[in-house]
Amino acid sequence: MLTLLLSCTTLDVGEWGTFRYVADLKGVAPDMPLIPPYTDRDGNVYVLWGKADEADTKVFAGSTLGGWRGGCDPSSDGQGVRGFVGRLDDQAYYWVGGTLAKVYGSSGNCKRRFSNHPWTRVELNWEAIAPQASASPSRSPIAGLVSTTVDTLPFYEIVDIDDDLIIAERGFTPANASDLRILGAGSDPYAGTFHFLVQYTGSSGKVTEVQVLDEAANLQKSIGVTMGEAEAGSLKAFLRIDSTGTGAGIFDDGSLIVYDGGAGTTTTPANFTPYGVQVFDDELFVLGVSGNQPVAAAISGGQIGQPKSWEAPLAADGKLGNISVLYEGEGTDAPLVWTDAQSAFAPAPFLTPFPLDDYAPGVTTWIVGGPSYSFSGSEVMTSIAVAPVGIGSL
Amino acid sequence: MSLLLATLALAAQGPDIRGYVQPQFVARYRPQGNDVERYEVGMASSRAGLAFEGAATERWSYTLDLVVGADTVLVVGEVYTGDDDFDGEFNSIVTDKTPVLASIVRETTTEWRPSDDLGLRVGRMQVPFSTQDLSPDTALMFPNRASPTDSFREPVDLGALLELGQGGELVSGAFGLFNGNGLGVDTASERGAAVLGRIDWNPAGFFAFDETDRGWEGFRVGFGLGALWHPYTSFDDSGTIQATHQDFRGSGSVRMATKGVLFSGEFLWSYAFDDLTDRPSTAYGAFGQLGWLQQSGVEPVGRLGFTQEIEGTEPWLIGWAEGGVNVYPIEGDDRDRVRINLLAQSEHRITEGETALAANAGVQVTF
Repeated sequence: MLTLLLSCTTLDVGEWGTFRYVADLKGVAPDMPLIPPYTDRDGNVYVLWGKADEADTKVFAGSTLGGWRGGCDPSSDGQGVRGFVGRLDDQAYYWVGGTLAKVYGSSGNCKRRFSNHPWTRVELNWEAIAPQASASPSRSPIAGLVSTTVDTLPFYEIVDIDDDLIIAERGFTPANASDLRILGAGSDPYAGTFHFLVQYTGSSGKVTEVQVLDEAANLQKSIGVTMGEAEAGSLKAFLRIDSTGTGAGIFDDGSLIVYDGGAGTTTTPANFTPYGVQVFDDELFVLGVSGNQPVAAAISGGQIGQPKSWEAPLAADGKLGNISVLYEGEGTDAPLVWTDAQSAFAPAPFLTPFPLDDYAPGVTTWIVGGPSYSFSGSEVMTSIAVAPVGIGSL
Repeated sequence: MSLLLATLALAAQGPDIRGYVQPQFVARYRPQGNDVERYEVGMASSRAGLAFEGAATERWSYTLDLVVGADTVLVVGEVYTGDDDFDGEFNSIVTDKTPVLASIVRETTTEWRPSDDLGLRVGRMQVPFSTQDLSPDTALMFPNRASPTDSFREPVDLGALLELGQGGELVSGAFGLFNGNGLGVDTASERGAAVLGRIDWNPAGFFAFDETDRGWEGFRVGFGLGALWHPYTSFDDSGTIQATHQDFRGSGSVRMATKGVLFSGEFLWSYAFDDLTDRPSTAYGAFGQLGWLQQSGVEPVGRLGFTQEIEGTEPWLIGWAEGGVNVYPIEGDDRDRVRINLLAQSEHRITEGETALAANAGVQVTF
């Protein structure tokens, strides 16, 4: 009762807040190469643009006090956008290609972090990053599997993004592993652990397992997973873990991995098309579409339950179309009207493999696409705007 | 002629000068802290306060209150480029920062008091939002105000305060208009005044806001309510409106004392939102503290408090527990001149799973 009296969530399910113009970017809605926005603790909002298979990326920062800055590219190598991986008061960390980068909320400037090992100076290639598992005054760790040109196998690197230092590192085990493929990673915010899904050939043959590490890079356990061979990096976004330790994720081919503390397997739902895995109120859900109806299926006991109709995406989508967009820092506070605005990416809001933004209780953020244009011979550019939107709970 | 003589007499007296010196030793342990923060042992601060109060005429007076050594801020001394990735490219700006004293001015006010029960103070002053804002620094039960209080109040601001009644009487109140950000209007990028209201009711008779019951008198009780409303507008670099903000805060307190035992508790609440981010910020907190000053000059004290932020990206809950003893080694009328405090303190970041423990020893000498 006290919480009800003292709190006030402003946006109902599907209701949009103020649309804030960000930039004009390559692509056409609803297929723009974007992922859900990300908010730091101060309320600055970040937008990351770039395809998963191209090195060109841009990051933008919207100040909580108003105004957007950015367009910064940390000059990553290899593949492009992989996701946001951590936040501080006024900064966000993200993973592009083999690079860990950070962006400042006040300036929109970005830069590579830990691109070279601080002790040996050897260049580091971040092959997988498990997002920040916890945040406290003394600890803001993220974990990665990094490779170098001088090491046969990658090694685990735990870094504190607040203090900007390496907390721990440990070589990959087993040390005699060959044909190692790092499929994906995730973090367990409840246990403060990091999960890495790997495939390798060991002394007993082909192994697929989730290796669970603590903040000191100690291997707590390995969870065997029954699945066929998969490509490195084939897990979309990240593994998601609920309060019971059950984990799940979605692969490029639409199949799902589900595991608990004992074992895991892959599966493909027969009665709906999955788009992603999210955690709501400490529980795991597979979000997808059945026909044209968004659905959500709870994951419990390592099993995917029956999908149930989920109204939030259509409710949010239905309120797009004609919207008023605020152009901050343009010398006017009068909003402009966009017609035919729609979700900039994904078939409808919230249907994404990437983690949804924890903006406020029952509220996340999303990106909408507006007017598009192109000059002769150039790619189509589309104006995008960010807004908070009520998502409620499942 | 009599008024002129009285004025001249007041001017000849000069200001009344009061003050204190308060060095504090602290040993702090953070079990989950990183290497540099895990243990901290040494002098935490040596704070001194100096207040000048005087009257220019019978109705006009002034106050200058300085607190030195309480707060330092880091300012950039040198700036140069750096390569913090060791990749041969300058990719960072490195700054060397030096601690300097923050503003030492607690209060610079003039007061016009046309009658005993009505006064108008203008200038920089402590905003009387919480009950602890009404307690002088030297009359606090602990060396510092409760952490929940510090989380919710605007400590010092520029403005005007209309005071009704005298603090501690049966009923007293205050109504104020402040800049809302502690800055002068020509240096702030925000526009909008903060409105403050406060009322205190002491139904059992006079009850001063000192946090130690020195009188060994009968039962006294006091209730207080404070409210602060700060609507303001923020602007971008071009001077165009960026957002309009609303900041509401409230406090409610109860105090009780008898025979050297004094309890005070307060509930604090804040709610802020703007029309740009649709991201309301809501928080509440409370504390309760109990002290028992005995004839021997020994005062066991204890305090519990918490703050809870229930909106935002990462809602958090913090709890505090403090306990120890104040010792007044001097007997008689000068008992308050010297106070030694020995305290154990703990901060529990419950949501974040982190704890800090501290032992605090200090002395306060007033003059």
